[in-house]
Amino acid sequence: MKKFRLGIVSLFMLAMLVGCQSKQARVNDDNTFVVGMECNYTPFNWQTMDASDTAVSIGGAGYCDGYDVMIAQDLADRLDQKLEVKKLAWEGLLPALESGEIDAIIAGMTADETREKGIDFTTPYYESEMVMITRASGEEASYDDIQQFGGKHVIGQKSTNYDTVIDQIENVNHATPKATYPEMVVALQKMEVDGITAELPVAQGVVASNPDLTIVHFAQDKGFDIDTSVSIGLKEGSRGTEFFEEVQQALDDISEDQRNSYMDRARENSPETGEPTDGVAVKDQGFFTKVTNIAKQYWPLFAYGVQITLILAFVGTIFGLLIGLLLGTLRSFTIEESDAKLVKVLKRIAHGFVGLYVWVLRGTPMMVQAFFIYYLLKPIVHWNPLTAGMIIISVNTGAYMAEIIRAGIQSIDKGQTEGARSIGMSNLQTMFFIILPQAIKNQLPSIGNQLIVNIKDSSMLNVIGVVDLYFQSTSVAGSVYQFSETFFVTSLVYLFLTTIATVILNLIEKRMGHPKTLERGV
Amino acid sequence: MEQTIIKVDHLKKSFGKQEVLKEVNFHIDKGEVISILGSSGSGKSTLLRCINLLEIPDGGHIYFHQDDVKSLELNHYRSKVGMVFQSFNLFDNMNVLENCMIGQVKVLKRSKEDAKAKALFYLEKVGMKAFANKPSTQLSGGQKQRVAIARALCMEPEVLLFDEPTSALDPEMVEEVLKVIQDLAKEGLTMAIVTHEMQFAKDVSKRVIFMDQGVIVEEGSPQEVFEQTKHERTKAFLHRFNN
Ligand SMILES: Nc1ncnc2c1ncn2[C@@H]1O[C@H](COP(=O)(O)OP(=O)(O)O)[C@@H](O)[C@H]1O
Ligand SMILES: [Mg+2]
Repeated sequence: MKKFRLGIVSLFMLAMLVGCQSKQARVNDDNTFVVGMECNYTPFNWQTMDASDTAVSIGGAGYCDGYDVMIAQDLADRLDQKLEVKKLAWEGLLPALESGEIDAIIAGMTADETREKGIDFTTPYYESEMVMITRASGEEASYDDIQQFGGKHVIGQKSTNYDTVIDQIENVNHATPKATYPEMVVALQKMEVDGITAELPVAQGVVASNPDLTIVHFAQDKGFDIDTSVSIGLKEGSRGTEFFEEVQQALDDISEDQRNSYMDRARENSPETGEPTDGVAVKDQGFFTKVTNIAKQYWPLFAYGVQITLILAFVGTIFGLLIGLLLGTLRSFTIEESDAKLVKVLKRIAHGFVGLYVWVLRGTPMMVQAFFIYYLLKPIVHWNPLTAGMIIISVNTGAYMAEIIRAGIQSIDKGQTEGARSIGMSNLQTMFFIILPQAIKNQLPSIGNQLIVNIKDSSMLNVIGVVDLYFQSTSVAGSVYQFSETFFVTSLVYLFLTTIATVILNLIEKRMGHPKTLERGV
Repeated sequence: MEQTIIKVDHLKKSFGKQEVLKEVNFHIDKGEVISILGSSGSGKSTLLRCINLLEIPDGGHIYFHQDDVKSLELNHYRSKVGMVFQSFNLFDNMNVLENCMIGQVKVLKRSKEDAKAKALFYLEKVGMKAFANKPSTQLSGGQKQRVAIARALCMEPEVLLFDEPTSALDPEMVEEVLKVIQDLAKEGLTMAIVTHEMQFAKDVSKRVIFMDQGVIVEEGSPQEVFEQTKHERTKAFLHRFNN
């Protein structure tokens, strides 16, 4: 199964260890069993609007269903606890476990050496087979040895061991990994690659909704050397605790037959098989029919995502502007000969602070900032992902706005300041009544552009579990395994949002008497 | 005896290594109109800017009545010493009336009604009342300068400093601005005017000062400076202007 790469995550883990010592195996000692998963990994876990008897609600974002959910529910029942499923990005699972936000990861995760360092795993709860997805029409469809893929282009999912195993094929053209199956399937269909490494249940899901693709199984000893079992991840250091033993015992009590029946049910119910439209089976439907069906069937998921995306974009832009006004203005007060000593010192400190703020927040990706800020402060402020997301995007936007405001202030002719000084206006009055109004007006296009940027960049906050439009789309795509179709819908929705925002911004600019700008980055 | 409003005493100012003002002594008495002449770069603007404290002097003293300006509250002092710039410096984000009101309201803490009444009074005086609601950016140069004079007058300063008020204007607009300044002179307003308009300087001033290379070279009545010129440097300067 999937495997973390050391990277941001381990860097982050380091900060976590410094920031909050893990004292207990479980933070939530109440009667809920909180499980983290992606909800976009059919048939293990997917997101849906249908409240089937196996699905578990994940709030406004619909339901999560699948093999992992059934296992989790079974375990919760045996533990005599209430099940709660938390939808998290893959990279967000480990930090969430570490911080006690979730009690367990049940997300089709394979126990391996690297991961064992940060997680205590139970014994496997599912074992599978490593296969390759290829085009049904190609010669690769008849292969039964991984070495036959020598010279072919093979791709695997980024940050997982699907990607690393590719190097077991001699002379393979190891394609640059992609983050999601949706993208890889498109690459395969567009002939950019000849094979995608996959876990059997996942491959079956992909092929069910893409009849032009097929599954290649490998003969004994001719396949990949890889552990394909998946295990339940519990918090590091919990092995030996009562909780760990309880979970392990409960898992042992689920019989082999029961597990297989769960998997059968998951395959049967998984959304990718879809509903026939007007008697036409999914595999025979055209692109736009699929697009329309996805939009129709999943519009509540998209709508929920749009709502969150808009909240993030507007809150981020407005509060970012306020932060930017404050910081950009502070930065623009020049140190003058006539200033008192204390004033000079204070101005230097302010300049230093603003410089540092802008340097750090513009110089690091918002995704990383989200990780740090969210999990470092989580034990202190106990915030939810959306609140944290709003604050993070505001703080991040503030850095860009500070520079925009500073540039705006600098662009104002010095004569404006001198005119104000000559009639006795103070520095603050001059800034507030004369300089800032002109600076803001001149910079309206750039300020507005931040709104457009935020509509798009808010998608990065999915790493802390903010369920925005992009995150919802990956769920839909991962659930129906119709990637181009889903993201076609997503693109249209984003384009619609940014277009509306552009029109509104142009109106505001016009009203403020600014010459209409012809160019605007979208 | 005439009351001295501004007294400049051994004033020094340098920009880096360049000594722009070297020991300048100079005073402005109440009701007086002084013209300051001199070639470009001689330090005229710097002198006015030091008086208004837009530049901080490196040496010497400036007295406002009896007080050293260093002991005065900076912004309060500036409101007493008005300044009219070559490049107008009207606030681009405001209309004509607001330009004339903001200082009154924010610095002098006058009520909006009082400020508006006063603004309209002075705008009428400079012939710009009809433009009160126009954005300042939509005015001609001559109109802008007249509004700038009204803005300064609204603060009811004790002395008004003009730094080449007509140098940035098209020739056909020079007259309208000079006319306004002449009217103010007749009313007895105290003014110091840096100008290259020789005839105007002759007509309007009580005293004329000629500056060169950071020092006051010659000083006297217009009659003395223009007709009984003592210094060679002044003669050379005037000669260039008369031909
Ligand atoms: N802010 C400044 N920085 C550096 N040099 C300056 C500055 N202001 C004026 N100067 C220099 O000081 C000298 C006198 O300038 P100024 O007072 O403007 O002369 P004037 O008004 O008589 O033409 C000039 O050589 C000018 O370059
Ligand atoms: Mg000058």
